[in-house]
Amino acid sequence: MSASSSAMIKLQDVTKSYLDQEVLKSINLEVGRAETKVIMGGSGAGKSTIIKLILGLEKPDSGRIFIEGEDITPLSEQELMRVRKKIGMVFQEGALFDSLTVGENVAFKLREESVYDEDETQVVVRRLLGFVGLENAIDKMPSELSGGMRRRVGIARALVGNPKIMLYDEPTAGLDPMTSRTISELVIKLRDLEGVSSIFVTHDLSTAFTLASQFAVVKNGSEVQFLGEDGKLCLINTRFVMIYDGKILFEGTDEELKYFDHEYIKEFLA
Amino acid sequence: MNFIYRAIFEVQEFFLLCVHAIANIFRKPRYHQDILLQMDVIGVGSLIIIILTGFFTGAVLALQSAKSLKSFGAVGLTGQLVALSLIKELGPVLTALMVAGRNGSGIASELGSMVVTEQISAMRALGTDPTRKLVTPRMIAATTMVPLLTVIADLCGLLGGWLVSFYKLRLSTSLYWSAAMKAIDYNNVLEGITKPFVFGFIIAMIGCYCGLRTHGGTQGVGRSTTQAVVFSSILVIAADFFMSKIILDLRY
Ligand SMILES: Nc1ncnc2c1ncn2[C@@H]1O[C@H](COP(=O)(O)OP(=O)(O)O)[C@@H](O)[C@H]1O
Ligand SMILES: [Mg+2]
Repeated sequence: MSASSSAMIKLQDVTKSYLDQEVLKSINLEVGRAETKVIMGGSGAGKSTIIKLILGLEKPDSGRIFIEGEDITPLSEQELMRVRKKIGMVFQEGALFDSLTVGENVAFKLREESVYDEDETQVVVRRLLGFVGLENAIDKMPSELSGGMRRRVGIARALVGNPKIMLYDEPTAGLDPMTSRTISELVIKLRDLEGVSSIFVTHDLSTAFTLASQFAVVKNGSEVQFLGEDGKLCLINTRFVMIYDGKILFEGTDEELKYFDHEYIKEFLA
Repeated sequence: MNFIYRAIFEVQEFFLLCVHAIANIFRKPRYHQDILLQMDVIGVGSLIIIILTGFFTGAVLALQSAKSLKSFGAVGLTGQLVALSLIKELGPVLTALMVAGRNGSGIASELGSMVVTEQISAMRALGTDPTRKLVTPRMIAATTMVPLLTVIADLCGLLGGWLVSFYKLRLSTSLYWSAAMKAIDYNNVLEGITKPFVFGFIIAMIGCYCGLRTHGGTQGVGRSTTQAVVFSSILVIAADFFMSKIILDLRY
């Protein structure tokens, strides 16, 4: 078939315009197994658009998109449903169904697929809400939650079915540092302990550098520890991607980013 | 040119949504829970305003028509005139307009805010087709509830007409009802039931279409809501005219 078989996500010369605005001019991007790509760029740069293209929520104007080696560009909406089941998506503001409780939000996919009975569904929902630390919020409505809690419920909902690919669209935007840190730790745990491949869109530098320098290990069988808090480490499984003017301006480690000689990036890091 | 192109595109998108929504009736999964919920929202929720609308429409019909009929010395026909106008025209149209104002706007604003908060995208991302989960249940609920509400409006209207005839015009009860019964024949009732069936479909589909094509944040939701009410009201009245015309041509 193709050389893309080892990549979980692959974008090949992807372009996308809205009306007469060229948002993505030529995007080539690959995400390997258990790898995280941190996508950065100004607001309106097309970061959310890249994520929507990967999910098949939008179609590219040209180019191809591969998920686990399968070209998804020619697929119909019906066929895309099968591909989307492999992918967990965390939306910018959580995008929780506001007519459903937190528990029902997390259970949504399970109930739709009706593979589990009600008891099993409850078990899964409680386990996932436990993972994001919100087991007590199960009967709350989304409107009763804070911004950070909504994002965490969004993560729990995206984790149903243990997807091998996770897409995060600015999950820490507008949150306080403590809450941002909790969310980064969830992302790190999924990357290092579950081997999830992910794309993490953010323009929050401290979150980005946390992801690139810390890793999670299991101590004594169950306790999760985060190492590399001094920020000196430079993980190879997490790389930065900078989008500028519809193209990828930079791709590499956080060290390389700091020394990359380009006005826009210098301004971005300042 | 651009405007015409856009209009054709919108009409095409609307028909595609209708075709999808109808095709979903024959395919699994079906959302019985959502259908029942929407029936409750549209049917039970609109009951009070439909009862009031029907009642006062019948009452004013009796009041006004008696005045004209009097000059022909035919006040006794008041019941017939009230029943005929209600069942064939005013019952279906007024019910549909009330439901368009109440539920058409509700559907558009609900789906519209789901679009701008990315809930629709989230639903697709979770592997569920929003047309199936959101549009089809609303279409089924509206096409079944609007005819039922129309029947209720008609009955309340007849009651209102009777109250005015009895207390104000001093007509005997039996005279009013026997005249009314003359108007309630098979053909008129069939016409009076077919129309609201189509109206319900129009209200639900326009509401869903306007809601789903919302763009531009919270302002966009307001715009979609207004558009849904305006378009569905105009379409209801236009459809009423064309259906009346077709039925008249067929019958005579
Ligand atoms: N559905 C759409 N219709 C028209 N323009 C859009 C649409 N979605 C996004 N855009 C435009 O595309 C550009 C990139 O958007 P987006 O990918 O959301 O940027 P961001 O990097 O901030 O996530 C923006 O200028 C936005 O206005
Ligand atoms: Mg965005």
